[in-house]
Amino acid sequence: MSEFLDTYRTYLPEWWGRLCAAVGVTIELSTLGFALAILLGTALVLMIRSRWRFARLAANAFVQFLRAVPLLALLLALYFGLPSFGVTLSSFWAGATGLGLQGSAYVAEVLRGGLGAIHRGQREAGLAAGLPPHKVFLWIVLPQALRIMLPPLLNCYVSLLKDSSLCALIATDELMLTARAMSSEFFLPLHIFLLVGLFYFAIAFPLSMLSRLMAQRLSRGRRSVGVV
Amino acid sequence: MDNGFLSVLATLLTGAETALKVSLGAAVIAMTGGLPLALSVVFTRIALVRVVIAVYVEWMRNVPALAHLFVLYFGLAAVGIRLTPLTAAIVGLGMVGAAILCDVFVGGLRALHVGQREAALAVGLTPLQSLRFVVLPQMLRLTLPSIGNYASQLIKDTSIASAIAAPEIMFYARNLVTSTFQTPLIYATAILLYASIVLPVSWLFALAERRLEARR
Amino acid sequence: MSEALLTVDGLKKSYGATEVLKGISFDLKKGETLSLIGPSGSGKSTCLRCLNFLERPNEGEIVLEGERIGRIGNVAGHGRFMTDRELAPQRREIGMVFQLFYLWPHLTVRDNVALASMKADGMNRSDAYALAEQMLDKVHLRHKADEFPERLSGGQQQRVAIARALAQKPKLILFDEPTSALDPELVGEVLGVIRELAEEGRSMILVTHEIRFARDVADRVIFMDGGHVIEEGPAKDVICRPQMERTRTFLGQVGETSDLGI
Repeated sequence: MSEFLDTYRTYLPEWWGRLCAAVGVTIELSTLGFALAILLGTALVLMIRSRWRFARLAANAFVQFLRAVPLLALLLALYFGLPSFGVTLSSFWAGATGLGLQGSAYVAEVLRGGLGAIHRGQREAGLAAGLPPHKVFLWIVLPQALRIMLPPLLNCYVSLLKDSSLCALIATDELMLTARAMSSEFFLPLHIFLLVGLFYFAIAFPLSMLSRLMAQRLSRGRRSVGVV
Repeated sequence: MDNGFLSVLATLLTGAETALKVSLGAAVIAMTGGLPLALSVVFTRIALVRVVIAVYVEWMRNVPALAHLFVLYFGLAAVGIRLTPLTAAIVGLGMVGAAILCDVFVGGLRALHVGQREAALAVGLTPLQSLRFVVLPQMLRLTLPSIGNYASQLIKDTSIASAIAAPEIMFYARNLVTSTFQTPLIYATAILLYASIVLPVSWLFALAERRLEARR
Repeated sequence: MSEALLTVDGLKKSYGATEVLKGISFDLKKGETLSLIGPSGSGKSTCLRCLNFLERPNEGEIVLEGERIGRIGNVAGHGRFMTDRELAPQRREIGMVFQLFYLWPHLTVRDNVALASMKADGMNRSDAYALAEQMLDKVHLRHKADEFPERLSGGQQQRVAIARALAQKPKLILFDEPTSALDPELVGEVLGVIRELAEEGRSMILVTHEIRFARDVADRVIFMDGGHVIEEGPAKDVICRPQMERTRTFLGQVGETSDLGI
């Protein structure tokens, strides 16, 4: 065991810098993917809630399909498959797009659930007070919905953070790829992959805890006496 | 083109067999691991047990599955424990699944009113009987959607095993690409293949949920 | 005599195959308190909700001080329905108090009352807050201005809802069973406020199950059943000396007839 730890003591100085730099890329990648997921997810939700049957059907089918496909397949298709159609994405952008597509299905579900959880009466009271519909949405529905949606959205981000590791398989220069490179360089796969696991944990765990805390505080504040 | 599609499909189907094996194996580990873990968390009075399980669950869930597979396949090999790709995939995904299902079951158990179990004990059932006849059946109904979610996710996650050379769908797909260069066709077929497995599974679970709801 | 503030003519409303309102007509004079009573399912709430177009009537005209509510154009019976955005200014003129209050939980009591003044009328914050505090004074809840709704009792929440409606400076206030969701001991404080408003001479339409209160506070009463107006007249006449058989049956079921004065 102490031999195990000794290895770390020897190599950590050398590994630390490389891994930290790679973490930066991982965070960039995940954040970009998350932003894309929010954009696309919002568009999907608008389509799902729209009056046009075609939009609803198309959006629902799209979401169902995305949820049935593995991220790895999407990534490989985007990176290796698109060039045949004239579109060449860098591995970073293919990664971000893949993450964004995956995330958008989840985001659409979260947005739909959050907006739907706000009781009709809230909106009616706003309209009855003489507020135009868009202000009812902005000042009454959205603030309440955001509180509900924040924890699952945070969870989505954590998911994308973990899934960004798959981008290593399309040669994106993020944490997992760096880990693989280092593991063949130093012939210490166990040490390196465990360490890298720790890196992911260090970022993901606080965020997961934060999401859990938010969700708890939310359910406590809902004493709902007539504020249905 | 038609011929190409069929031969691609045939090759990928070989991989599908592995994917299903991995899914089933991991699912078994996840269920048989997750339930005892959850029961321990909810019913134990020893704080240490809860802490140890919490550490396990948080580690499994906050570290990417790919990392777990690499640790099991490459990492253990370096210290003399050589697992086959298939074994590593099943164990790795299974361990992650146990962590996920542990959380799911803990949530389900806690959502069930405490009174349910108390009423069962008051009537004279033993704790084990109360579990078997009162608590678990209800919990199953409650957690079915989450289990369905997990099942779909698991089937998709088997694709990760291709990274440790498990002969499943994506593994065959990538090999085909390097040998035939029909890249879009191959990946499109792979995607359709996954969809054709995952969608029926999620529909089956949705059906089961509706059936259970109707019986209330 | 003051002329009609509100005219309702031939109001009809169906949900699919079910006709809930079968042709309701009545007037409301300025300063008058009108109470709608009747059994569940008689259409009283639906009728009320048609007045500010939270429900869209299938047929019929609603005219408030000469202005046609909810429809574009000047010809009765014709003209397309307004959108929610177009309705907003008209709804500003009509205050509504809901059975379930529907206070906005993410805003303080003061913000609940002031929000519409700021966002719909463009009032600046200090004016809106001053108005809000004035209205909260009227319902005796000024001291709760900084609290959030969930910390108030049901009766207090409903009074805040009344203050919110008052802040609109409406021509007409609609009450949709304002005390039906309250614990019995809290009903009185809300009815007290409504009584004060009636004595002030506000124009109000009150859908309620509190028959005694309607008898004492309302000027006129309309008894509805099965989507029709069955009987209408001065409050004490309809409630104490009902002419129609159905009215008598309903009042007999709802209250102790001696207590109601029959």
